[in-house]
Amino acid sequence: MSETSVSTEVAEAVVGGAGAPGAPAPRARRSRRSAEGGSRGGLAGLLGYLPVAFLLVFGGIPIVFSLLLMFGHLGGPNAAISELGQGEIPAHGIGTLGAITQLFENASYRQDIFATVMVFVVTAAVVLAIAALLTFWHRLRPSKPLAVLQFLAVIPLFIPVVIASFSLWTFWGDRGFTNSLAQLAGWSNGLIFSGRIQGVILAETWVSLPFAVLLLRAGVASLGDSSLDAGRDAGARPFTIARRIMLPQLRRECTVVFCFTAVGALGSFTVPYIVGPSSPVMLGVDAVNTYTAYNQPQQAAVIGFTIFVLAALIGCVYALGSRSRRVGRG
Amino acid sequence: MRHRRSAAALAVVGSVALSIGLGTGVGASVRPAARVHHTTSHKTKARYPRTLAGSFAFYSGGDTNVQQLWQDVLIPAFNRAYPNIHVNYVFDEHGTNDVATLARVAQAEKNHAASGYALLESATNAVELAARQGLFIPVTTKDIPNSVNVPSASMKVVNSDAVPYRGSKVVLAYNSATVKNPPKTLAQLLTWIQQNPGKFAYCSPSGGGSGSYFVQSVLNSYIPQSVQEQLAFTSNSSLESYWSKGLAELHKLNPDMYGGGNYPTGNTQVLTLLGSGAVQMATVWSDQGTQALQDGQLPKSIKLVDLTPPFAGSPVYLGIPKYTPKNQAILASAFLNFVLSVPQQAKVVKRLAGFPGIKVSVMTKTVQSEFGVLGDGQSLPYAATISSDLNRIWQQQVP
Repeated sequence: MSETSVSTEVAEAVVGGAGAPGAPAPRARRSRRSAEGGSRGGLAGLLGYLPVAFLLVFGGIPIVFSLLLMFGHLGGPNAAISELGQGEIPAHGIGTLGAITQLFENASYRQDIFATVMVFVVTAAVVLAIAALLTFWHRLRPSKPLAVLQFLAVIPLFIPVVIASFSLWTFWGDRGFTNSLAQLAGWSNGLIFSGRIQGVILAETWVSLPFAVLLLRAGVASLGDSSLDAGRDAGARPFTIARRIMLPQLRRECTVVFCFTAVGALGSFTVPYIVGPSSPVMLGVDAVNTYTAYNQPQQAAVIGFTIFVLAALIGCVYALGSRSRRVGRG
Repeated sequence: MRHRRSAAALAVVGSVALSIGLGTGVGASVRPAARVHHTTSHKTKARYPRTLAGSFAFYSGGDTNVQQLWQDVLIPAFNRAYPNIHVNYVFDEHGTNDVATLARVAQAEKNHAASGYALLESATNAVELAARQGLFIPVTTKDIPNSVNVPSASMKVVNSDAVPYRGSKVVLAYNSATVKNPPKTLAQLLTWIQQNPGKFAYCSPSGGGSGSYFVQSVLNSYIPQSVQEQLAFTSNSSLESYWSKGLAELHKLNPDMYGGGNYPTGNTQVLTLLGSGAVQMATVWSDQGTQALQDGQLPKSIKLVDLTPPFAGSPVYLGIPKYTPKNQAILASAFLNFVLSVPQQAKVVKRLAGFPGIKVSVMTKTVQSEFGVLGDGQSLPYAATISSDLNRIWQQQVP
């Protein structure tokens, strides 16, 4: 029943309710039932709007304020934050691109963007490759070592990121385990990853792997035996089965893993802050530093917007990748 | 991270500040210390009777040791002295909400309304920034009699709109097992760094004050004294042009720093590097270094020394926002006055291995001896806004 008809019936019930003289009794009962159903439906409808309201209040409105701040509108809702901020470029008229051009003219900011893109693309690719390798291989050639590896891959999920980051910073430092091993092998300072972009990629991979493995494991488990058996019967090697049969069927899962890992790495702060180099820094670190340490909220809004644009691009990849329909499920 | 995430900050100055002729005090109300202490006790009782009652909210950004100081030491002691006052202590670890909280205070001030907090402490330089923006109720010796013992320069940098209750300074930490003749001046330190590549570390200025004050020392070595004082007490960003030579010097040091220019992100990471032997020398906070030595986090071979002139130090401030309801402002003032008393300041020194917010000279001989070889001499740090600019410019030009 549509909301309009519910409302009509409720109105009828109110106007010509059970107690109304001259109203037929059966219709009145029907109306009362409809009215109860209508109020329940209305409540359910309202509850349905709650997430939208939540998103609007905690996502949409702050984004609008942030955009206004970025274009130099320092009054109104941005008055308080602008009161303490430094280096602000106020709007004259519709707005100013001053803060945006100021940042993009800065070579160090362009390096930060490049480093960020590199980290999230490489991390997402590496995570997807490892997760696919572990789960596909285990499905095609089940073995205990692979099962153990899959289990181990999930463990980082239960370790707080800040603890993990500090541990990895120590582990990959010049007095850490990896470099000590390299020194023993006569390779001086050969395996230091702390304070380097490679370290950030490794740490992001470590942090993101559990979700990827869990998701792909579920996807692989849902594949039917028939298509895999058909491949085997036709004499296809495991790599060919994985590439020609499994991968096309799990394209959506793979897209989800790639995009979610990329978005996670793009917006991360703790890992690049602790493990990463002093320069270039990832945009998440840059945004926090600009807001708190440099006291420049307007420029921090520009960085936030840059992250938003990059996330939107990843969103486009997600939309394209998840459009495909799977076939051949058992 | 310990105090001073954003280096910012202003000075606990003591003898060094006075010797370079900085501000002479909070008006004419500064009196001889010995007499003040006696008078203060008397005044305190008269100003804030034990029967005061009510509650107020206190926002505190800091590390867990700061939380423990308030919750285990100072607030219980205050409750024993004033059993009818309830302090609603709101702790924010590492001060991640400092800026947001101060923005809330700024908004409330704009609307001439109460912010919800009667007292603020920040882990960053947010309270100093807010004081300079005039967001706090000015501190007077009438409202807070014990503030008479606060070094005048400490009050001057916040326009007497907030009071310091503890402080620390940056010192040079070195491994005495490998460094037999530690540098005594900044010039000697820079030479040592170049002669021992990879063995010295300081954290990025935005990550911790121990790195920021090293950077400021290098920059100051190319700046006239008069300009240094302006950078400490004003927000005149045009003076930042004096930094160019110092920044070039720091950039030149990149390959000689730990990891070929890999700057640790905070004070704690520097201590870890020092403790693991990855570096032989670093700049650290005096209180953090002392605590790390006491806890065994640093080996006994690590020694803490001052350079000549010393690195900067900075106090941590407390401020009462404007338009705080009058009854709450009175309770917060009573609390501040209590915290600035000599016995409570002695507890602060003991618990945090730092400096008191009040003059060291009014502390007992036992407390004074706690400072040992380090003494309480320190240089002036840059003003909060200048320090924020330094964080940004260092990031763009040095690593």
